[in-house]
Amino acid sequence: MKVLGVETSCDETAASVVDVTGVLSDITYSQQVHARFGGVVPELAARAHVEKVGAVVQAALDEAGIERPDAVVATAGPGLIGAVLVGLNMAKGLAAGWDVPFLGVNHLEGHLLSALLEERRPEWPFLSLVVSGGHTTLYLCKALGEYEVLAETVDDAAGEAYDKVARMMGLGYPGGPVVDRLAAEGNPEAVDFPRPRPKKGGLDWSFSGLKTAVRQHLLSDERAADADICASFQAAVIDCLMSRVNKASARTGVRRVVIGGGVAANSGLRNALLKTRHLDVYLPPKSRCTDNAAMIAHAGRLRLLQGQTDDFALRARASWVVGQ
Amino acid sequence: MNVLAIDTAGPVIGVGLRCGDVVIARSARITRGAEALLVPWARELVEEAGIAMSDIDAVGVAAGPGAFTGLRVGISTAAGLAMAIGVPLVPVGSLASRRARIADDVPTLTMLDARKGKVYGWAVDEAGQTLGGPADVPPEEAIAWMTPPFVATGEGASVYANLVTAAGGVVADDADDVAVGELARLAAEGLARGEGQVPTSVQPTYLRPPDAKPPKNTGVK
Repeated sequence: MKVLGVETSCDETAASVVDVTGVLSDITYSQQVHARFGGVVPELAARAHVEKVGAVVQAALDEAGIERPDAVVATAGPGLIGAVLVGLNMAKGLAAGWDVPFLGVNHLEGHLLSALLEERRPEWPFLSLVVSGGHTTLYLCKALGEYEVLAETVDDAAGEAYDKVARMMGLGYPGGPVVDRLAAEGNPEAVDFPRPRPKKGGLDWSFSGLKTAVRQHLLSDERAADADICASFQAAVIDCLMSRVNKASARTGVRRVVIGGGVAANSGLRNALLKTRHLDVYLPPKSRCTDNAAMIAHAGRLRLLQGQTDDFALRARASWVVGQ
Repeated sequence: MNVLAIDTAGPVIGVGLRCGDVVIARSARITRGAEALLVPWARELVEEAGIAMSDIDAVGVAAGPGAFTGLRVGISTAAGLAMAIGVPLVPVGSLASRRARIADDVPTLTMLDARKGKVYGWAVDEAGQTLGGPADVPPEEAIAWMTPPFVATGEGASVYANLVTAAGGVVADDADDVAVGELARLAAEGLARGEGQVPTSVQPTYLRPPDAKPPKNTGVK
């Protein structure tokens, strides 16, 4: 079964074809229009999606060497609703025109399961850390559709903190890759930024205090070099992320860990995971950590294989808890 | 010729199917959720007409102006259908299809409510010559294009009916009608004139720039 997947939930316009052999095509157009705004502008994102989505879908079909897939799936949420609607409706139109099954995919499920697309893939159950500009959540993935939230952020997402810190430092947008690159050249112990702890017994994160601490440091008389600030900030974020992953692994007895989301492309986080010997880590390539359609097509295909489809009356959802 | 037409530019959305000269249609006034209706309606109409999706010769779509999200929902759905069926997509002005409900020799002001105290307006005289627009303007400015007597149509005419009446105009009885039948006819005529496009190339006509401002200064750099 060849499945076409379409993803337009934020600022990437993407389409992909997958089948039992793996990814046949994976086309992503990354919108550049948001850079000068320091963040994704929903109306600009939606306009850019409708400009590109048809050409991106056509390119995915061409690269896969097919004229018509056996099913069409698309991200139906969560995300920027005006952006989600573009890909979702194109997918519905395509499926109806081809007279093939249609399914709406939860974007987060795409990230959760993206490691299953790789040759070296984890067995169930596994821990999945989804960490991006919109999400910072650790799931226990028990089976397809059975996900338990073990930890999540109570305020900013980790990627959001990266973007805000980068903006405060005048490093541009998106901030994650720039901070990551500078951090590699800096001293992670130069500034002692706080590692906010969860409430007793909990595993949740909070990143807004860390962001404020960076701001206070930037305004202080003893401001460190940019590379040192980035390295110290990144070390704090990674300490927070890793401490919860380690605790969750100890509590659940599950050693297999996968990551997804834009911050999963962060080299500091990837290195920290790989260095943790008691974890069995599965890292998707960086291109499959950021938003892409292969993960959507893949998650959709797994559900289609279980006999699931959606009615064409399916609504887009700005918020959608994965697994519900 | 079988033409499927989709209009989601205004608060009343619709899908029409024109087979020869016969039009069947669905429409509804909604505040959100057009994505739940368009494809189910299209499939119902195709079944009702006793044809298959693959028998459709072209898809027409209201390309704007109109509600930003609505336009994108309509265009992406229409583009997906046209791509998969393998037929051209014909963009039609959303003010033009509404204007087409009124007799050609009647001076007509067509308006869609653009919110923020403005309308997307277009005025034509009895000879079909444009008097103003299509433009994103305050309703008073659009109405000032007209010399009474005139007819005003489009759901913006209903919203600003008192201004139209005060200026000596008459609001059409069916001003709120989404006019998908006319849209399908204009699309068929456009197709005959070679205005059918590759589905991936059709874009909305917004008439209004996006509301996007650079972020406020954070105070540190």
